Amino acid sequence: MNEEYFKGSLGQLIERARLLLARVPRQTAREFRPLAQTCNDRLAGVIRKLTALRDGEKYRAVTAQRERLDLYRSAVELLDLIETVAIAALERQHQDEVFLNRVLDEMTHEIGYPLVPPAVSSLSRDYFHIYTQFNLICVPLAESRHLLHWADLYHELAHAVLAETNHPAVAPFKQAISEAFARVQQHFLTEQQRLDLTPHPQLMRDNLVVWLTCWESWLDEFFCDLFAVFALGPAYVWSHLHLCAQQKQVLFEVPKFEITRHPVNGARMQLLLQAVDQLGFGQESMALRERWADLMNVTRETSSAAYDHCYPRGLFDRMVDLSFEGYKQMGCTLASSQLSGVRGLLTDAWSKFWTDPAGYPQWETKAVESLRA
Amino acid sequence: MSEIGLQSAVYSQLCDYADAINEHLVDLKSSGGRPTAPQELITFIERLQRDAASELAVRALSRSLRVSQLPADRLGRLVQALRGNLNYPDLVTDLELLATELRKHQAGAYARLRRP
Repeated sequence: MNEEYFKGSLGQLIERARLLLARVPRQTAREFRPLAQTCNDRLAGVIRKLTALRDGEKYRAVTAQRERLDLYRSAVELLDLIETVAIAALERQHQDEVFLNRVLDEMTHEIGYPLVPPAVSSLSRDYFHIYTQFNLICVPLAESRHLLHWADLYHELAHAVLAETNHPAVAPFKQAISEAFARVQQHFLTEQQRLDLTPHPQLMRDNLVVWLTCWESWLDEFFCDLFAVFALGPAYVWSHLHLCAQQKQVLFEVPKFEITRHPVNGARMQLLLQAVDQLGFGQESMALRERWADLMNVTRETSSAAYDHCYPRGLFDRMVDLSFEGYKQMGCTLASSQLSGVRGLLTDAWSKFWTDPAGYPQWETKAVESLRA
Repeated sequence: MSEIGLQSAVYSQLCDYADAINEHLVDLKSSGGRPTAPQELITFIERLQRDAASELAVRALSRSLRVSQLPADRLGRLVQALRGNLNYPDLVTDLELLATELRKHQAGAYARLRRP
């Protein structure tokens, strides 16, 4: 890599970043203003960095070219993300999105969400997800018209909580996940020691290593689920059951050699049911368990001994306890049997869904229209 | 729910840490002196020594470092040197090893972020 390459490429990238800066809309809906500001700030930062990499004397040291290349590549990637995700979202701003942003604003207000609410865009090609670096949630195009998956917005809000590294308000929840991970490590270490006492196939030892690695990521997903159920209550679990019915995933699959980053839907449901019990929704819990059993009767899936080893009940208990305390200590409002606002609407939606399945689509259309008015 | 929620946080944190290390390496290599390490870099390496980090990025990186050439005791020496603005023969090598591990994780997270 030579000086000429950096000079030419960095200069071109600076121009691209300036062009993008000019594309950030000046007139934007109120809900998108923080995203627009984030784009401005990030682009200004990228331009500063690229200029330093091009002109800064210290970056020309022969021995520092590896680091210069890494810094250059990071800037290129960030620029790509800003362009294809954040600015793409800002350029859309459909009325449906303005509406969804209003809904999310209400959701965060109702639960006492401790961070700045994210913006919502209908850019998603892959269900609900959040880009935490832009505080931007993406949902599929038609989601603004349907209620049953809005519960997943609470899950995405929790990803932003876990991604926050400095804000003191989220420290209790982050402390809880840290403690839970210590428990996970301790559990699998103890299991390894137990296997060492007597002859066991190597495969069992290998499984423990794979599972512990999986749990590094699973824990985040589990904690996002727990945050969502504490915030919304049984409606989140109904929404998850709906997802289990819609997706072709094996409900109780156990990883053998490959690391997976998401826990299986069966494990998530098991955890959510425990959380619903913790919240004191006895009747709802029974109804959920019945419908869950119905689904398993159809899929004819059951958990295995390997599943029980991979997803130990004791760890589920600890996760529920720790996250419950962490959630409360953040000052967030717990779901109760008397919910109003968006939480009340999502709870009513599931109630209507089960009591009048045929009439539900019409009811939903009217409910959304009335909320938009 | 989707992969992106997990990976965007991981990727963004890894980028911050990688950039901090690379900037410090540039300072070390270009000045020939003992530039002061930024506090965020020191804090990050300290957290890598602790097993049960609250961030997925740190948990994953910490695990891979345990089986790399940069185990906890060497991370400890690195932190002490950075904190006290001290030098030792392998300081640059250790920082480069850490930067290499970060680069691998960063590349993986970016690929998953863009093609979940």
